[in-house]
Amino acid sequence: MKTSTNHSPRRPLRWLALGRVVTIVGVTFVGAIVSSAMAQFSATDTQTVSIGYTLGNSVDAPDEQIDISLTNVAIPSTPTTDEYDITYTFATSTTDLTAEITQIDGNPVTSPVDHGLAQDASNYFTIGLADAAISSLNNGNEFLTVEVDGPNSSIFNNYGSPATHVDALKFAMTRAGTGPGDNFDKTVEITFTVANQ
Amino acid sequence: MHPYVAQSFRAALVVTVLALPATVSAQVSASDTVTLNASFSYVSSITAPANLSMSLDGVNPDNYKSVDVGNLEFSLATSNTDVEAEVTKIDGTDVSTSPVDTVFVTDENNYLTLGVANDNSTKDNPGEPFWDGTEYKTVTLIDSNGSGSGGGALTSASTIAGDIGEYAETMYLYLQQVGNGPSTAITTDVVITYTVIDP
Repeated sequence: MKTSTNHSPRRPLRWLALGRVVTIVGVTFVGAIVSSAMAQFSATDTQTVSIGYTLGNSVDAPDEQIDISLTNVAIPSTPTTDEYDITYTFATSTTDLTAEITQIDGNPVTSPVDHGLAQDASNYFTIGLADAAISSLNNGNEFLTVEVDGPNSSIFNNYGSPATHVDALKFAMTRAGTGPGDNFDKTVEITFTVANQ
Repeated sequence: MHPYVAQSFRAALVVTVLALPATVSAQVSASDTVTLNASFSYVSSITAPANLSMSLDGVNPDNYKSVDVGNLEFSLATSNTDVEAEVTKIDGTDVSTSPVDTVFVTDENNYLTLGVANDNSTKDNPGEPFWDGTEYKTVTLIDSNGSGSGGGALTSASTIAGDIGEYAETMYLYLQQVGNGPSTAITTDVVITYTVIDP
């Protein structure tokens, strides 16, 4: 029988070797496929986010009620309170902070004479804001808007700087002439406003 | 959803959310208030006119002389406040109950008196004396119930009376010879005390 003897004794070895090569190639191919599929799920890219933040105008005045009093013979004749912080944010470089008397005893203000702060143009008392000097919120004729922090301010000096600022001021009273002509004991509401010019 | 698409969508959301506060914060103005309990009170006070010298010549045909002595400054704390003046010392000595024992008085009909006048005072309507021939008198300059005593010791007494406030009023003093006047020449100091009082 040459059935098996026809085979060279080396042939099985050749096929075995060939089989190994095919197997190696196959493994390599499968590995390549796997490698290619993995690359899809680990892809990267970048994104740049430009973040903007705009300051908002805000102001926070003292919450507590503040007492201040003056008599016609008081010494000193210009009393001032303790210092109180005003926290405010300028949104732009042209934002200012102002203050004005808006109500007295719950009533919107009209004129100093109507509310008992003045007898006339020459005889009255004032309520004001004190720093190095006093900026009055009224005279004998009218109520005044005081520039607390602005291009012409002498109280705070942060105008032109968009940011949040904290500065302290005092409240003051002064008398002109013979005063208001009667006793005065009322609540005075002062409104601080931050606004773009 | 593809992961990349999801990532992009999330990024878009973040950008949108970040943009919202910027829009809201761009408000034009903001305000806050503070409340002051403010009081102005008048308290009683008075400042006498400056010291002065005044004299009367016994040969003065009117036997009367008034002098503008400057401002009497005072404040009325209540609507019931009066302003008074009285002589408290003569020649450095506290006054007693009667002026008879002073150099000013010879007797009840003949003496030299000092008083408070106003700008309308005359010999016949001189004002309010600090003494007569028998007693010292307290002169009411401002009477809260009306005008100054008598014809009004201060010119503006009637408009000030009962009115809270601070005042500076021109004041006049006068000398007047009554009868034959005192029996001797006089050079002496008289102290006048001014008082603001709510009786």
